[in-house]
Amino acid sequence: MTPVLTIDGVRVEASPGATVLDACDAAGVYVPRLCAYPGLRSTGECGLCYVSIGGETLRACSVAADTGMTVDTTNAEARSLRAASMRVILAGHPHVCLSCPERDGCSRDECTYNNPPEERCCGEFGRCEIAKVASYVGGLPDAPAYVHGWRGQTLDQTILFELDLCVGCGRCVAACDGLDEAGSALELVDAVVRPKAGDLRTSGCTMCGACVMVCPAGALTAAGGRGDDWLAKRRERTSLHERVLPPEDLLPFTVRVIEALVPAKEGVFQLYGQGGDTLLISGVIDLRAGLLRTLEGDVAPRACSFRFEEDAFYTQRESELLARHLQKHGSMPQGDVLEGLFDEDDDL
Amino acid sequence: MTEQAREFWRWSETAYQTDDVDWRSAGSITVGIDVGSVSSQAVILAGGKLYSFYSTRTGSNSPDSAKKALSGAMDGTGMSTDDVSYVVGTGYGRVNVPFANRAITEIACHARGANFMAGPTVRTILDMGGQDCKVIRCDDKGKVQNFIMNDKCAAGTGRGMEVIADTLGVPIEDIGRRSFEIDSEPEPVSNVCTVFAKSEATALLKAGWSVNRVLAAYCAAMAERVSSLIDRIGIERDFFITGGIAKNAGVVRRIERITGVEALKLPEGSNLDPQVAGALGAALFAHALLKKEQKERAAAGADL
Ligand code: SF4
Ligand code: SF4
Ligand code: FES
Repeated sequence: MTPVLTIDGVRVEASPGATVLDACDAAGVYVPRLCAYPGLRSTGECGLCYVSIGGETLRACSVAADTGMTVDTTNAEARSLRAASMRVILAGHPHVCLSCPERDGCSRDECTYNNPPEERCCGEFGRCEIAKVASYVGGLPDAPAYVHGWRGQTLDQTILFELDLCVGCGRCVAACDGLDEAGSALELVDAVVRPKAGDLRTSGCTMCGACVMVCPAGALTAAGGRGDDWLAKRRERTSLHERVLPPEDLLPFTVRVIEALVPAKEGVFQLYGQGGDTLLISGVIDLRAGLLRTLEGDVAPRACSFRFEEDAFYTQRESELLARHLQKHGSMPQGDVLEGLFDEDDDL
Repeated sequence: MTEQAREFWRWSETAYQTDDVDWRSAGSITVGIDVGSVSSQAVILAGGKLYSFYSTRTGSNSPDSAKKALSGAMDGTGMSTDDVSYVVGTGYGRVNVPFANRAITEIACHARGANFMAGPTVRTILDMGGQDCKVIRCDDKGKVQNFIMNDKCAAGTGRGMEVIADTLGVPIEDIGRRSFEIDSEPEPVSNVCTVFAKSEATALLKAGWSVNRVLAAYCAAMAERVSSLIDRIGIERDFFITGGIAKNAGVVRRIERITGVEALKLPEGSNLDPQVAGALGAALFAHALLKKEQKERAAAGADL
């Protein structure tokens, strides 16, 4: 039977056997995840996919979609649990570059803030899935710095294992499993991946590349130009599903992005903080100038990403978006300049 | 419109100034300016207390309207723009307050202004402006909690009423009173669209309706439309009406009848004008923002 559920107020038909996370994917509603990957079984341990199901906060990847369920993916408790999980994950994975104001275009060779090289991000910087998910979920600034030990870097045939980067999500184990009778050539030991029998070949590896394609952490890579070619060829043959990433039109809130992508035109921008909280909805005569000004204002330290739309009737559009926000949340966006202006205190 | 033609739709400009406050010794002058599509208002606070306000029609050039409203509020006080420490602009034309330190959405300003004007018991505010109609729900501090506005159509707004005033040749101040000078309440007109209002009103007159009866039918139709908007986010006491139409008893009393909730009246002899709620809220925010900045500066100074 086809389960029919309600996700964020919208009726969704899921395929039989789908998890709530699958149903969200089918509905085009993004829910963060690391251990889950479409079509693969997940360990259900990363703790990023929390949603509220009928008032209970649960991991979407571990609950079967069922008729009559009401799912709220924006639930506040769910979001704070996600952020807490993300902090735990980042405590075991280098991340200082991710929350750095200079992150765009930094080569990471010389650090303006003198972060030691062992704490800086790895070679996957810029395309890393963890970074994208982390900036969506939040939890970056107060995660303790992780010190990279550069232990256990091994090149097994074409696949490079960087054990310090592994977050133990188990995707690679699941991707390798079920490819043939032999089962997975990989296993997790103490939340770190390793070939079952010591090296890949004796573990039954067929060099299909699936594990490299699903790794969100840069722990399994096919490094260098030769590796890229190798991977590109294998990617064509793979039956893996596409990765599900945070929505793209959310742009990182940085000078570089604003200057490169935002026109000096009338419109409305929405600013988001950690976990997708709306901080600001603002209609301005010049989007670029408005965003750059906001970058220097009080909300900036709390802001992670933004979205903008051009609209000549920007004050009206702003009111529409505010109305939508108020009807959902019952208060103005939290980063509004008005915060703290309501308390009567004596005159000057 | 020819030279001699009377402009029936025009609300008279309103102005207020008090002698109770001496702005020169007040410590700070803060200003709120609300540039709407039909009218613009400026409110001046001296030391956080209401000092003066002025309301004028918005011309085709909004920056001029903002300046006109402000100079109207300063007229005869000896105050100049140099004396002003902080300006907040609001309203659809708010970017046209080029001298504003900050722009703040009119939703927040209306709630803040209504809270100040009618007191902390206000929970539902209906603002009937020139070109739109909003319903705002707020808490005891005037913080917005919910908000809804009409779709992009001028029916049920000040502009719609102006068209009727003009078509029927009735000064807009008289519409409310005259709409009750009838034997029995007519059915509301079917169409409050400003585009059709003119021809429909003319048709009713031809069919033998009295001018007052047509006015009643229009006020009723507008009240129905607005009430259904209020219904969408619910009405909670106290209920307060701001904007130009707050002065039109023909619409207000019919809204009260439909919703079953009486709107809060300003105390007899109050100098406040419900039309300046937005500008008043903006001025109050300007005052609070100025204080915040001064505090931050003082704290930064202490750090050095
Ligand atoms: S390359 Fe393929 S077979 Fe080898 S470990 Fe990775 S997924 Fe398994
Ligand atoms: S190697 Fe990558 S995919 Fe495998 S468990 Fe570690 S982080 Fe996950
Ligand atoms: S995706 Fe659900 S716990 Fe990891």
